[in-house]
Amino acid sequence: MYGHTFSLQRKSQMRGVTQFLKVCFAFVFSGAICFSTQSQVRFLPEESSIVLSASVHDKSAQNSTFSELTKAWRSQPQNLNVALSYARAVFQIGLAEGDLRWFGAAKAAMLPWWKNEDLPADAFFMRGLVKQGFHDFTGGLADINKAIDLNPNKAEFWSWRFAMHLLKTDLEGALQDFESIDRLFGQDESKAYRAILRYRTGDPQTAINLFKTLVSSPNFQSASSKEWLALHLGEAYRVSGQPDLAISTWKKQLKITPRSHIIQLSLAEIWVQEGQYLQVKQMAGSVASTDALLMQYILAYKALKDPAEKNLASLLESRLKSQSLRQEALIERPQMIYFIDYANDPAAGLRLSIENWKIQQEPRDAVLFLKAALALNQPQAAQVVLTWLEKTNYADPQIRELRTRLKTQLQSAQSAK
Amino acid sequence: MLWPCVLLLIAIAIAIASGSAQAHSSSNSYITVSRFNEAAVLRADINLRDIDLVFDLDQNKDGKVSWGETLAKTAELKAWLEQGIQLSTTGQKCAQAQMNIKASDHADGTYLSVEWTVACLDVAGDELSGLALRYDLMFDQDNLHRALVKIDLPNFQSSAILSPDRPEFTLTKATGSGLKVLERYLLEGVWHIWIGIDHVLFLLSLLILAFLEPSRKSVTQWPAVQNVKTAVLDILAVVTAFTLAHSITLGLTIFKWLEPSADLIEPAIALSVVAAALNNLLGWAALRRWQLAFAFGLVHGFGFANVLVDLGLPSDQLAIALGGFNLGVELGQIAIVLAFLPLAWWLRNTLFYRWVVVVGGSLTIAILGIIWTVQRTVL
Repeated sequence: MYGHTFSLQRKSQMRGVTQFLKVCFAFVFSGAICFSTQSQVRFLPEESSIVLSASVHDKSAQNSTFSELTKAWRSQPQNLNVALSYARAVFQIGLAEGDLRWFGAAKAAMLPWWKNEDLPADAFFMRGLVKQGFHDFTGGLADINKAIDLNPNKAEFWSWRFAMHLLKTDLEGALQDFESIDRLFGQDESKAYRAILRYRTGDPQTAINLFKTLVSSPNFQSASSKEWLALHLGEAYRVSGQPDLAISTWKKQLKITPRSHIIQLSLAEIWVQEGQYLQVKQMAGSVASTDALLMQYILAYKALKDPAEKNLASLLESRLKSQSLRQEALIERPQMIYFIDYANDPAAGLRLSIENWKIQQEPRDAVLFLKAALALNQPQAAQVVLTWLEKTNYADPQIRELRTRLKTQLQSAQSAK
Repeated sequence: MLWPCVLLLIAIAIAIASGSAQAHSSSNSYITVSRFNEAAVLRADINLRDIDLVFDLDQNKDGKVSWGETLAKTAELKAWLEQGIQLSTTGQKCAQAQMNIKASDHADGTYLSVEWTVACLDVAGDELSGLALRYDLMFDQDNLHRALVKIDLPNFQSSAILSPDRPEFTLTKATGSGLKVLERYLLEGVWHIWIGIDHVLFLLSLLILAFLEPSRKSVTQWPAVQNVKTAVLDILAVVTAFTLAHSITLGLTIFKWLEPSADLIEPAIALSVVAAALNNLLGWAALRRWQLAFAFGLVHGFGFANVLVDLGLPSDQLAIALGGFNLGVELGQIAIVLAFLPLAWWLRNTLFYRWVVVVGGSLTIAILGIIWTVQRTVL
């Protein structure tokens, strides 16, 4: 349909990754074994001081029934329906805030059924979401497949599977999901997926046109639908090389949903890419920002030669250190950005990129991978990204430029032989 | 149509545009047992976001939490904390007195910082073994929560990560003073060589020919060594070369001069097993066996280092731990040699030794080595 060559998903190599990272983290752990809470000075705040800027129980936030769901779950943790409602609520908070602790809370709710194979569709789906939240994409996909087998009439099951197929570069799977959505839920619904497939496979202009038609659709008038449209329309603009339109789209949306983590992050990233560092500085505020946002702030402050850069960097380093002390194998994108774009350690960045690429292949991961390989003059290491680019036909201005440089390096290396 | 659409859109928005890779750090708490004046102090720093999840601290419902609102929950917090963080010695709960609540700023926000004076510990004493810390504050609420524990007493320094699967940390007898560190790592060294079947088989591959006189004929026709001194010297040369080599790379890795990836080292160790075994059968290596032991011993040293690092090294007693571990590996090797030597000496004149021990054993070891190489490379 799109004139691209599709191929099936590659087999996961999670085990190898886990083993490799276990050793890496063990090294870090041994070096950091002297971590100390004592370095954090204790103090007595004024009673009026705000110590937490946003309570999870805030009724004005997106989930006004959260407290009730929490109470219900605590009183009946073995009731599957109650647990599912609570798990969904905390998972959605996790998505909105970009905070892994809420995925941990969702897992705690699902724990009594974590290994069950006889579950209703909604439970398989929820468990699959939590698994993919921690990069167990194989396990997550398996659960979501079961959910779809049991109940194919739920659009969100298909939507997540579509997203995970894209993340694993299973374009054939994503296309099949799109076609099923078109058949089961109608054209208006499937247009959104077609648009995503378009801009992820080298045709962002068609995607932009499709998104624009959805703006006036009655099915896309809710607050969350509008946010979603703004996010993807902006992304399609960015991919098509129209950063100003992307920025204006996202800025407009941020005025409507000022707490949206994903819109904040999209803006911060494109401002850094475009050298508009002062805009990022104006956005920076709370120290409780996500690691991803904090990383973008650091890059902007560094470019501005702002003395606050060091404090922000030490905050992120402290967070990365705490994460490494946990000795887990989860690779976070901010960690890769830190090594590649900030700490001048492309070797560490390349190692992480190689491992991360085995698990997920997203345009932003591709950019980091290419940058690290270029910095180390190891173009062969990023050959897999070039293959991915050819397979998907994906291109944005940043990737296009990196790909050209990498190909030049490859040619130089070959002629040197 | 609108309802599934909205959910679907939220899902894709995040999954496509941000991925889960952009997330915030997971939830940690920080637990320390340290000395203040002459008393032991237990300190727990817990993120207020976690506490808010459990207690709904926002009393005035303005969406924010003030310090006053936090303090309003002191009684409930005290009960929750003292039930969820418990020190004990030799099975007896320690009294945790004089709870003191403050705040502390960490990289990911403000934490509640609680301190207790612990009466059951003699902080300057030498006998703190049996000290156990149990932590299960947040695990039922957040399965990914972890407590990062540090014990920082004059004679005991250690650290641990507590999780739902491992909510308790016990200070073992060997943790702490220099002698105890030496004892602990020495035992770890012995244990590692004994359970490290690849190291053992590599060593045995190099030793089984020590009881036969080399000749130009096939190995099955080599005559037996008649002088025990010859065999012992041969064994001594192999063991010494292996020891020297792995000590070099173990030290280089621990002191961070060389840090090769385990992805390279583990297959290389397996290959060394294949090479040593095949050398017995084919005799193709230009190197003598003690030279092979040295060359491949360098690779095994990196493997030992990975194990040692995994054990967690006390940064202030690194040399003792390293020395202890190495000594343990040597003692483990000597034990293997002592067990093997008399048996091999007794059997050296038999066909059984040549065909079953040398040929059969080497073939089996080579096959095992090939399987490990494939496993460690591909899987």
